[in-house]
Amino acid sequence: MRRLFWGLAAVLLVSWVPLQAKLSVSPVIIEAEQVKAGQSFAVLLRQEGQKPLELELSWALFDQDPAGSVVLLEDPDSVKRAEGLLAVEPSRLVVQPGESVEVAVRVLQADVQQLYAALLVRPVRSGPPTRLAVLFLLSTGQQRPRVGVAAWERSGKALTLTLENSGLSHGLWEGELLLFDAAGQLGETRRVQSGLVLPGRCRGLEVSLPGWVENVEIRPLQLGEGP
Amino acid sequence: MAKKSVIFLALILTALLSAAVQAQGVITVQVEILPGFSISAQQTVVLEAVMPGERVEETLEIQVWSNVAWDLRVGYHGGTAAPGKLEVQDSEGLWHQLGSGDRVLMRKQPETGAAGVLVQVPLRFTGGFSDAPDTYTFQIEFTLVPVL
Repeated sequence: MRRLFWGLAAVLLVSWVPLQAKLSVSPVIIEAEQVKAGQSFAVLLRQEGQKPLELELSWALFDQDPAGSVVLLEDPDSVKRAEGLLAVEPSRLVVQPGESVEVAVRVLQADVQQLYAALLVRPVRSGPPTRLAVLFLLSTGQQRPRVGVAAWERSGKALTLTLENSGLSHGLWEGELLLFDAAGQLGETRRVQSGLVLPGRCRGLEVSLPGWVENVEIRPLQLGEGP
Repeated sequence: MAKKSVIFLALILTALLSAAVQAQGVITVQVEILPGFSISAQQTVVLEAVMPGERVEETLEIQVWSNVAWDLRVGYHGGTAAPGKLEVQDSEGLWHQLGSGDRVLMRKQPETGAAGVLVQVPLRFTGGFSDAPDTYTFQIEFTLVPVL
């Protein structure tokens, strides 16, 4: 009791549902080209808990870090910008146990070349939420990505490629690694593919190499810049 | 000879009809499985009372199901930070103090399969002398994000 008096008691609310409750979202990535104002996309929500679950849907923009992971941009300006371009209906709803509900995302304006936005699905309950992010990668035109190998480094058995997208749309890099042994003989050709790279961004791709590899030649398989 | 020909034709017709009946019984089913994920987590964690400078640890459990690669991010909810110092341990065993913005707790995790994955998130809290004695409630949230 004395300890409690002098001490600092902390209660941490971690999430909104007991472990058995389950909220599902699909699809989680929506990608479309030549998007026009008024166009809509459907997102399916389902809950498998014991009680009705109220959900709140909100917007953020997203970017990409050098490791390729999504970084949510939730500052007021980014949220306002996302809300000005996309709308979700309904933005607040109650889903019954076992029920699946479809929400419609509508494009309000298509006056940007690219839009990278995240729809955040958050249950509303006492206690903080666990959120599910649905990513929208929308292009209004037919801009092409231009993903190439900006740099590469070999460290022991690991080959790290830095892929850069200098194009106007998101895209991925696909290429072949020609693996040569100490005698200069081609021992293996390995096909590799990166994940998506947003325009103007770089991401790393690490490939494990067999121990016998002495030299590596990198050959891109699509339009883009070579090493 | 003619009788044999009739029998031969009848056999061919029977075979053709049989094949046709079998063909009618074959139905092509096409289905598209969309990328999706699910999450569930425990509701509340109550940490022990701590003295200033003392540290307590607790492990949270989150269940994730996903048919695409995923990241798990963590941050304060509503911008209200904890008193003292709250740290979470990432999947590589490194401790990170929660501050403004969220951070990646688990990066590029593979598809989970039907059973899902039970993620254990160690967290620790250290009280400070700058925090008045009281019972504090603060909230952190986990965000499940698909990998691009």
